[in-house]
Amino acid sequence: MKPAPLRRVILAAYPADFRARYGAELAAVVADSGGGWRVNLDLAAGAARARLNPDFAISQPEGRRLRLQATASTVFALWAWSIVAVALFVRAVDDQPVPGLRSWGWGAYAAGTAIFELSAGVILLAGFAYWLRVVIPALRTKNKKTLVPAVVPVAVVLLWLACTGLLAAATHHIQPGNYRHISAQGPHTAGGWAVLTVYAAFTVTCVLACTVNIQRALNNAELPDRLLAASALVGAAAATALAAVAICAAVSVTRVLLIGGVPLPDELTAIGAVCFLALTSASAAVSSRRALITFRTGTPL
Amino acid sequence: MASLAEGAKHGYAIIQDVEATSVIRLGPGTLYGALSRLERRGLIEPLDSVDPRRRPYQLTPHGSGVLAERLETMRRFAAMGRKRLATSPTLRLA
Repeated sequence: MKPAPLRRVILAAYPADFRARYGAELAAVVADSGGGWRVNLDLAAGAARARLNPDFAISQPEGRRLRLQATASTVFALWAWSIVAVALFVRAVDDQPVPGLRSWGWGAYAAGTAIFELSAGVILLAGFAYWLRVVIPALRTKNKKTLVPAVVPVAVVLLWLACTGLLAAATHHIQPGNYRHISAQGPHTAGGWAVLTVYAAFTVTCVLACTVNIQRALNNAELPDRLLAASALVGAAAATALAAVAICAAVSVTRVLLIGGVPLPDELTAIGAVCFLALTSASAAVSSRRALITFRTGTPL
Repeated sequence: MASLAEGAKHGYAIIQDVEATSVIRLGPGTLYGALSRLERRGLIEPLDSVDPRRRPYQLTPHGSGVLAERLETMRRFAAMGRKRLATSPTLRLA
């Protein structure tokens, strides 16, 4: 890619409020600096920092609502990525049954699964309530700007479920009646690995598409502050549940490591998933805390 | 902030000044990340400009106070470091 289009893409990666306030000046300084890979790298790092630690005071008085919206979409995104981490953890620890995984190791695994399923149910219910609150007014006013990004995640989830079902059916067709054996051993051919890689990339793309569109729908719906603050409470609950799942997973993986006999890639996958869950729970807790303080004080954090 | 102490400057002028005085080449992303934080904290403020692409910034009175305080802390720290280095046994051995 040529430098100029690449630079345009990086500048477009800054948050909308940052672009509105500093975009023209930033573009002028980049033009004066003469570009180059160092400038592009610095811009990309700046865009990442602006996304990860947004400055909502830029767009006062909208800052409070933007802060609350950001928490709602951040917690949803973290939770969506946590599903992928939990799936990887389960695949690493349970798909190839660990001999001797009993007592506290299994107890922790079962407790973690139960907490995750319960919290997933609560978040799905809350998410559905918010989805209706976004979609129904948008349908009434025929607001396509809100309606389209709100409907896209539903279509994406249905597509993912259909593809997953087809893939599972195809796997059973290849070696009927022994799913656990197939999943434990992995694909045996280059074609099998190619299908698995495409499926993994497809899953990541689906999660990305859902999170981006939900953020867009929330931004366009302009929900009242009080409703968004309630989503921060759901976020705090999700953070607590994810922390509990991370602790259970850590206990379970400790037992697995003590027993031994699990292939190294599976051990590393399980440890990576635990670390990721700990990170997501901490991030969700920080984001929810910021939103609740913002709602209470009125000053965006 | 030290670059703005001698008067208002726009983004690229700040980059040139910092490079001339400290040999550090600030990237545009780093500079505007810092400018947004300083503006949010009320330490700098933008001035009106005919060209919105070359908007100058200046220190606020609060920003000048904070800068003076920071520079004084740095001066004391540097003086203490020089004093300790002068009496360092490692330096005497060398």
